[in-house]
Order: sequence, then C-alpha cells, then structure tokens
Amino acid sequence: MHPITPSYTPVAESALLLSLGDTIDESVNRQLMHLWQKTLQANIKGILEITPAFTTMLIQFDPILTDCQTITKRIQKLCRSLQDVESIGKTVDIPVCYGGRYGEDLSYVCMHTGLSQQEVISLHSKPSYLIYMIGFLPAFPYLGGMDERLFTPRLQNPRVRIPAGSVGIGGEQTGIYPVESPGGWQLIGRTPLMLFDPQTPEKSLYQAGDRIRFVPIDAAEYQRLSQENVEVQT
Amino acid sequence: MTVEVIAGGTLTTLQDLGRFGFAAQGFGSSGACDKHAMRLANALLGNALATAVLECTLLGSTLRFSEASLVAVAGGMPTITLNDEPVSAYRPIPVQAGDVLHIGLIANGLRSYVAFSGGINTPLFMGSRATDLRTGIGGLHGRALTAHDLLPIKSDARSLRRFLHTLPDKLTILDKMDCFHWMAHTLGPFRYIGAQKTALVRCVLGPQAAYFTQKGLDTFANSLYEVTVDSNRMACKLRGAKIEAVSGFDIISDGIMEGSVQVSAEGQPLVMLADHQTTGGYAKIATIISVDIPTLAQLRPGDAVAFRYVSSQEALLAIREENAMLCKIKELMSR
Repeated sequence: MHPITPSYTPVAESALLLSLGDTIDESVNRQLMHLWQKTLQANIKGILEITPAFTTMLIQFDPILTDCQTITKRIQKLCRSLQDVESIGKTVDIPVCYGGRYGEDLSYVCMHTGLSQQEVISLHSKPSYLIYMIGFLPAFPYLGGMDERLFTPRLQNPRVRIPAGSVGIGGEQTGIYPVESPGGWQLIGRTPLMLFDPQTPEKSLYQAGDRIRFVPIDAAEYQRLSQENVEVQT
Repeated sequence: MTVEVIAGGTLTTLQDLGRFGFAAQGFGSSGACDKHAMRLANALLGNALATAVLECTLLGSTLRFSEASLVAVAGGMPTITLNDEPVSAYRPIPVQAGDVLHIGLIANGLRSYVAFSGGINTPLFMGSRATDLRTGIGGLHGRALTAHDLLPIKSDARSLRRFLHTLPDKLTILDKMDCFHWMAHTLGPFRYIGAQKTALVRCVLGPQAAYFTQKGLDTFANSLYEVTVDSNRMACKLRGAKIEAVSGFDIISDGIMEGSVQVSAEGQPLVMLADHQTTGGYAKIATIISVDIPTLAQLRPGDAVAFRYVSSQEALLAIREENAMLCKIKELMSR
C-alpha cells in the first residue's frame, strides 16, 4: 500500500480538518476509517472530538493543551505505520419488510425504474453497503453502493413524519431513518430493529466503516421481531 | 438539597460544556450556548468551571430552594428577584430554605445562566449533563424544565458556611482586581458603527474559504448581517448581502463544529451553535473564534452583527486570556 499523505487545514484555533481528497471512493474511505481508529487508539493528548466523514476527519482539540502542529506530527507518524487492510469493519444484517404498509413508495419505485417488486427487493438486498459516515441524526448511515437501476428521485413534497426504521431511496442513495423524522426519501421498507435506543444511545449496532446488508423478511417475521424489541425493553 | 421548579420559563435547559466523543455516532456536543457566562457563573461560586448550570432563554425560571444555598447568575441581563426583592447578577446570591428565586425577562442579551454552589447533580449521560433537545437525551429527561420538576443539587452545609463567612473579603479582592469591570465589559459585545448598534465578532478563515470568490469573502467581512427569527440553539441564522461562491455551495459532507459558518444555497451565513448537527454539506467560509461565540449566542432576532477576520494567533491569545481570568476568579472564590 502506498503511504497516505493527508492534507491538513486549520479550521479554528481549536480544530483542524484532515482530508484524503474529494473523491467518494471505498478505498479512500477505508484508509480514512483505518486512520480514524488508529488516531483514537493513539489517545493523543488534548483531542476532544473526531468527526469522520466521507474523506475527511474534523479533529477538535483543547488549544490550552495542544496545537495543530503537534497533532499533525502525531498523525503523520500514524500514517506511516498504516497497514493495508481489506476491510476494517463488520457486516451487520438489517432485516427489512419491503412494500405494503412498511414501504408505501415501493410501487412508485417500480413504476419509475420499470422493475417488478421482486426485482427491486432482490437488487436492493443484494449488495453489502459500505457505511461511509454517520451524521445528520444519531445512527443515520450514509451508504454507498446501491445498484444504479434503483436510482429514484426524492419525493416532491417531503413527509413531515417518517417512522423510525424506515428504509428509503433518495436519488442515488439508500439509507435508514434511525429515529422518527421528517424526510423526502421514497420509502420501500422498514426494519423492526431498534437502531437508536434513547436508553442506551451509545450502543450502536454499527459504525462508520462497517457494512450493512438488508435481509428481506415477511410481515409475520416483522411482527415477531418487533415483539422481541418490546420484551427486551420491559 | 433540592430545587423545585415553580415555572420553567421560555426554554430553560440543563447545560455544561457539552458531550464529547460521540460525533462519529451522530451525536452533537450540545452544552451551554454562551460558555463564557456559564463558566463565569460557576467561577463566582468557586465551582469547577465545567459544572452543570441552567440556561434560561428570554424569560427565565422561578425556583424554590429546600435548603440554604448559594447561586449566581451571569450572561444576558435578566431582572432577578429573591422573594420579590431585586438582587444582582454577577454576584453570589445567598438563599435560605423556602426562598423563591425568579429569573425574569432578559432585557440585554438572550440567554442567562444560573449556577448553584456544588452544582446540579443529575446523572451523567454519555459523560455529560447537557440537554440535547434535538435527540431528547441528557439533562432532565432530555427536555426543557417545566413546573414541578425537581433539581438535585450537590450541596455541603459546612463549605457553604465557610464561603459566606469569607464572602465580604472575597468581594473586596474581586473589586480590587478589577474583576467586576472585566465582567461588565463582557456584557457589552456591541459597538456602534455610525448610529448602528452592532456586535463585532472575530473569525478565522473556514476550511472551504477557497469555495468563495474574493468578492464573496469581502462581502462577508464588510457587511452587516441581521439575526433572523428562525435562529435557535442549533444555529444563529443571518440575513444580509449575498455571498458569492466560485461555483456552488455544496461540498462532500464533512464535520462541523460550534462556530462553523456555513453559507446556504441562498448565499446567507449560518453560524453553528451548541446543538448543531455533526456533519453538513454546505461550504464553510469562516469559523468564529471560541471567545466570540458567546457574543453570537446572546444576539436576538433583529440584532446586527459584523465579522472581522483575525489570525488564529489572536484567537489563541484571547482564549488564554479569558481562561486565565476565569480561573483566577474561581481560585479566589474557592479559597
């Protein structure tokens, strides 16, 4: 593997932005996630927060304890010791009940793409999607790798309320709404899994760098799994 | 010791310096919008500067104390009464069991901070007591205070007696050190440009300054912007001269921080405050320096603000100076 040479931009007296370029690409993101984990493990003095994204990480620090130069030097050292890795994350299976009342827009997606429901479900549940980053809301994954035959424009009028667990398509992207929120994506299914539990929000099923696979389930299985959620809670 | 909330006020939340280490999972830091006033209120009581406080917005809370205690108020200037008698902000306020403290309308500024000797003692949530309204976590049940809420306060009767005993001497020393002048000075972030009362806020170039034309950068630095009514704890949204980009405002989403100045598709600046999202897809023209974020947090809709680029060296000096002063007050008061 070629040694990576990030660029470093000061953002404030208390932050810098490390960048590996401006291409959304699996191998670039993998290098970034690897570097992110190495940086966390290195426990560099004064770092308060790291926000990894597609190709960048924002590093916030306490300017009383450290500065841009010191942190940059430490990370340069980490870059030299980066090993080539195939994948750094795990793959998480997300059961999804497609269509019907769980995915009201599945028929619209079929109409737009000219595919049958079975074809949409099979194309959508085939890849293992890379989580490039998590942002916008807690546990909201930005996924890459959707089959281009599924590309469907967003709704003209966004919905005010999308139920938690909804799986949707928005343009070239697919994703899950971990909590109830407004949104403009075409809803094709829903997972019964609780992706965000306000009681234990820090326990996430997945993180940036992991992969997600959607596993089709039927309505009976959806009901059974939701029931389990309730039992775990009480 | 317990403080009973008789009236919550417009938007009163528990805040501290914020929740760090969870941005990668999509959790913002939250925390006090005006971290200067929050720390100053604590310093006046000799509390650790990071101790959790109440953040009141526009109209504050009415509180009843179960035992003798000590509070301090800093930030936007409210009318404050103790059992209907006026009391001062920026001074430790001794209270007795059964006393009722009322934080009224904030006349100058937007947010006031109420610190309690010993500090609010709700359980830590992911390492912080800050309320995250966007996600509904932290603070008191993840929401703003309402009537009948009970706030647990960590209090110690002996250290309270000692504090009260030495208070007159401490106040004399604060006065001699010119601390009251310093505090009063931080109250007035306004300058007059002609007849226009204007907040002057310092910033450094943002990570995507190259997305803007020189004209765009000049527009941002040389215009007056007005705070709009849809500003909140997430962002201070501004309206004014349109900022010119080289070719569009969209970037590949990356991390944002408190003080980041995003420019919207309409060419208008938005300054991220404590409850901001973790990532964003608009180019960032500037970052407000830490010590000037409180100024923005105190602006009300309709107020004017102007920006000035400074070096990060100046930003660093300013933060060191502020920190040293806050620590000095805290040390003196906890002696």
